[in-house]
Amino acid sequence: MSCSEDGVVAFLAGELSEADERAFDEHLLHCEECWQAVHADRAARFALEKLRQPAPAGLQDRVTLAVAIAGADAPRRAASSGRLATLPVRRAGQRPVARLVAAAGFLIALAAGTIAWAGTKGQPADPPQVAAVAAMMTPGSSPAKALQAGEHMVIAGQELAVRAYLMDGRETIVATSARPFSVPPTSHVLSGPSPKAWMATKGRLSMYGVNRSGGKQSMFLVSVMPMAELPGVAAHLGLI
Amino acid sequence: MSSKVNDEDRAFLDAALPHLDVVYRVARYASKDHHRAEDLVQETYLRAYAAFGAHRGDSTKAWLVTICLNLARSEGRRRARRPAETPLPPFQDREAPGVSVPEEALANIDRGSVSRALSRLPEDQRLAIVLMDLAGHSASEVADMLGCPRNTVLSRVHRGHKRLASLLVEEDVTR
Repeated sequence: MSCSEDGVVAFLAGELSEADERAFDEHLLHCEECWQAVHADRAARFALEKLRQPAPAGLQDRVTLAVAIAGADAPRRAASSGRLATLPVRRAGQRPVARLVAAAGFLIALAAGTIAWAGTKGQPADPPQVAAVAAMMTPGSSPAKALQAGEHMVIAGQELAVRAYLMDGRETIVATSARPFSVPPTSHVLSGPSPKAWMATKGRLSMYGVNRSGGKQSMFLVSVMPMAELPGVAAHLGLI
Repeated sequence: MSSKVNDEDRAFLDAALPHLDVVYRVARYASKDHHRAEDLVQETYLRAYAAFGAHRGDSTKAWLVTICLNLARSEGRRRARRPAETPLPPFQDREAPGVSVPEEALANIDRGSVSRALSRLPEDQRLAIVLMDLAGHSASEVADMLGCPRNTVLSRVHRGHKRLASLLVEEDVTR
């Protein structure tokens, strides 16, 4: 048998007849060039095994969320065009730190049972924790220092930590708690690998949450951005 | 009332999520922008989801991988139109020399070295290797995806393997 790349390729692909394979085996004993070609090919395959790693943890959640958003967002947008609530917008001159005061006022009003989302008549109210965190949003402003550092508070008997980030110039607030959060009644529950993950939209706000059991931190994030961008943000923040 | 993921979403996820590892590997190594791999995977699944109703193929894996490849190429073309960023070391497109591959050189080679060596291969060889060795496709499937004869795929894989082994030995020597 003479040397040829086609012969080496066919041998490596297991495509030679039994007789040709025996002949090629014999050839390899005497031909340094073909032997090296076969050896290098097998060595490379062996090395490439190291790259057969699984997808990063969290990517499946991210994809599941993105698909659920794609499935839920379009019809919801079409059906509710112009009817969804708009959240209170920060008034000119209002200092970012004032959002905590506003949230406290919101909670007092909530406790007194006198408040509903402005413009959300007909929609069931969100759980107090979700509503209070959403009320801290001041779209277009930098996060308050206290929120950037991480604010601890108790809302409706549940301890939670709230932290704010500025993502591409847009504020994102993340709340975490050792207890699962109540899920907003208008949410879309995801049945992916994350237990009890949910998403919801409220006006310009997008929300995504994951409830975990066994003392693990549950969390949800609120942001002023299209739902489709939320999986990337959640991944960036290490939440999924 | 909370709603569950609907049946259409569920059907798509059941069919497509088992191939997530493979799609990720293709996204990670088919293009040189490793940092965008997760975004590329998400984009792949969203495109696939949008087209799932029309998907009649036998192999969902091959279908997803093809979408991922097309997106990676589009991204590559967009990048090519931009000013050059950080140039990679020049690659001489020559036949890999006969190389003696010491067993010990490859036994201790780390994943990063293999990844770097793979990224230095010519695109046609790298793609063929990614699709066959990392995604587990047959030569015939890869030929369909790349639109070239099956023997061409096998030749590209073999040449890529030889070049890769050579690069890994070089890296081991210079380490």
